[in-house]
Amino acid sequence: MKNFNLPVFGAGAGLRHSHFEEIIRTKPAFDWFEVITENFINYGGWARECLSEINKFYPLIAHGVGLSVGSTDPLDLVFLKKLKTFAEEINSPWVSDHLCFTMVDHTNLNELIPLPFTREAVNNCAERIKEIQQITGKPFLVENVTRYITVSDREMDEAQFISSVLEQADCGLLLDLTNIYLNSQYHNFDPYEFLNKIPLQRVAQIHLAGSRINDRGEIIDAHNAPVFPEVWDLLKFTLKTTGPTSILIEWDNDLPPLDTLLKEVEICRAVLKEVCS
Amino acid sequence: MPLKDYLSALRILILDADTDNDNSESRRLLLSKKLPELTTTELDDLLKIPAEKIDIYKRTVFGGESTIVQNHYRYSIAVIKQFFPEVYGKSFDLIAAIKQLHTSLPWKSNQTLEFSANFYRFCLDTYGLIIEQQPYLAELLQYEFMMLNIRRAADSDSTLIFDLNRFSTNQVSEILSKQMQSPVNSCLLKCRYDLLQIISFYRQNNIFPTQIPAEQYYFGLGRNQKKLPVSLKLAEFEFTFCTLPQLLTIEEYASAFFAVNSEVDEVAAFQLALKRLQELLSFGVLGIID
Repeated sequence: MKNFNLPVFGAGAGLRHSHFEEIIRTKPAFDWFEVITENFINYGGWARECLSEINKFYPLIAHGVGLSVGSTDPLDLVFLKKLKTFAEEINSPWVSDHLCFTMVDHTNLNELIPLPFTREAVNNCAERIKEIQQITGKPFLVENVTRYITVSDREMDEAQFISSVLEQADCGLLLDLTNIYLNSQYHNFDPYEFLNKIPLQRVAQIHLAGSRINDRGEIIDAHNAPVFPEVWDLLKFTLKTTGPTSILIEWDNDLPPLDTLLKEVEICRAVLKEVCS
Repeated sequence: MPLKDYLSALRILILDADTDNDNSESRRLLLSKKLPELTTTELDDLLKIPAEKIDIYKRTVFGGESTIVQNHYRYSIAVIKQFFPEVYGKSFDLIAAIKQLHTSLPWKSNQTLEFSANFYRFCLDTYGLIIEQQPYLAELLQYEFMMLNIRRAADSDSTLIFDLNRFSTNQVSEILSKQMQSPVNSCLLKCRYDLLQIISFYRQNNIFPTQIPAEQYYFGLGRNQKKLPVSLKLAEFEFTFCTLPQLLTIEEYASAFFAVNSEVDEVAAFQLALKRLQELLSFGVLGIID
C-alpha cells in the first residue's frame, strides 16, 4: 500500500479568503487547494460563491480543525453529516483533521491541544475515527500536531501513539513534517528516527509550513513564513519511502502574495522530481 | 475515566487557572479540588508540564479568539477601547475580556458565529457604563453582529431578482405589478444613532465623536451582487414598506415614494423612485419576485 491507496494531486496550498479573487482571475499554477471545512460548513455568501468558482478549476480537499478527534465529548453528528455533504459537494477525495482535542466538557478551546499518549486515548481516537469514516463515507486522515507539552508518555511515546491510532482505526496519515520538526526541537528527539517509527505507507498527504521567531524569542507553529530548510530535508527523506504524495504549503498568518506561495509550491515540485522521478 | 480527567485538567489549566505565578503545589491543589478522581500518577503527569508551556496555549487560544472578535466587531471594539479608560480608569485589555468571556459564556460549539454571538451579549452585559455614556455602542454591536450574520448565512434557494434592467423588455404596467419581498439574508434596523455616519467619521478620523445627538434612523442590511454584506440608510417610509407583512408591488413602492416627495413633478418622481428602488435591490434589502 502506498499513499493509503488514495490519489496523488501534486503540490498545492491552503486556500485563504484574501486570495480568492486573484485565484479566480488569474488561475495560478497550483495543483490543488485545501479548504478549512469550518469556514464553509453552515455558511453561504461571497466566500461560498468563490469556493464553487475555484472548484471548477482546481481539486479541493476538505481539512478540519474542529472535529476534536481525541475528545471525550460526544462527536457532533449534525456537523459530521454536514461535513459529508460538503465533502461531496466539493468532490473531496478524503477528509482530514488533527490527532488532538479542541473541545472538552462541551467547551471549545479553539486550539489543537495534545492528548496523553495512553492506551485509553488510542482506543478513544480509533473508535471515533471509525465513526467519522462511517458517517462521512470518505477515507479519513489524521494529522500529527505541534505540541508544546507532553501530557503523558508513561505508556508510549508519540510515534507509538500515532502508529497505534492509525492501525487500530485503519485510517490514513496527514503527515505534518513541520510539526515533527518543531516537536523534535521542543522535546529534543531525532525527527528522522521518529519518521522511521511511523507507518509511512499510510501517508496520503503532507503538510509543510514555516514560522518566524516571535517577539518573545520563541518559534511557535504560526504558519507565517517560508518552509524551514530542515523541513525540506525531512520531505526528501519521507518521499523516498512514500513515493509521490500530495503536498501542501500551509500559510495562515501574515499572508503573502500568491506568488510567494507559488514559489514554495515550485520547490515542492522540484523535490518531488528530484526524489521520485 | 482518566482520559476525560486529563482533558478536563488541560482545559482548566489553559482556560481557567492563572499560571502566571504557577507552582506545582498550587496546581496540585487546584486540580485535585476540581477533579477529585485524578490519581496520583495522573496528577504527577500534569504537574510535570511547565507553566511557561501552558502559557503558550493560553496566548494562542486567547490571541486567536481576540483576532476573531476584532474581525467581527472592529468598530464596537474601537469604541470600547476609546472610552474604557475614561469610564474604568485603565486601558482596555481585549485578552482579559476574552478570558472573562470564557468564564461567563463558554463557547459550546465549533462555530465562530456562536463565539461572536457570545461576545455581543458579553459586551452588552459588561460594558453598561460605556453604553450609558455612549449609547450608540449597543446599536453598533447589533449592527456588526447582523452584518456578520448576513455575511455568513447559508444561501437561500430563492429566485428573487435584484436588477430592474432584467425587465427592460416588459411593459411598464407589467413591471409595476411585480411583487417584492425582503430577502432571507437581509435585515432592517431602527436606531437612535446614525451608525453609518459614525463609522464614516471613525474611518476618517480614527476616533469616535463624544457627543452624538439621538434621533431616529433606519437601516437596511443585505447582500450585494457579489454576495458581500452591505448596508444603507432607509427613509422611514421604506422601513415601513419593508416591514409590512404582505407582499407589495413596485407600483406601491413608487406611490409611497411620491407621497414623501410630493414637491417633485410626477415624471421626475417616478424616475427617482425607480432609481432608488434599484439601489434597494442592489443592496439586497428588497428583491423582486419573478
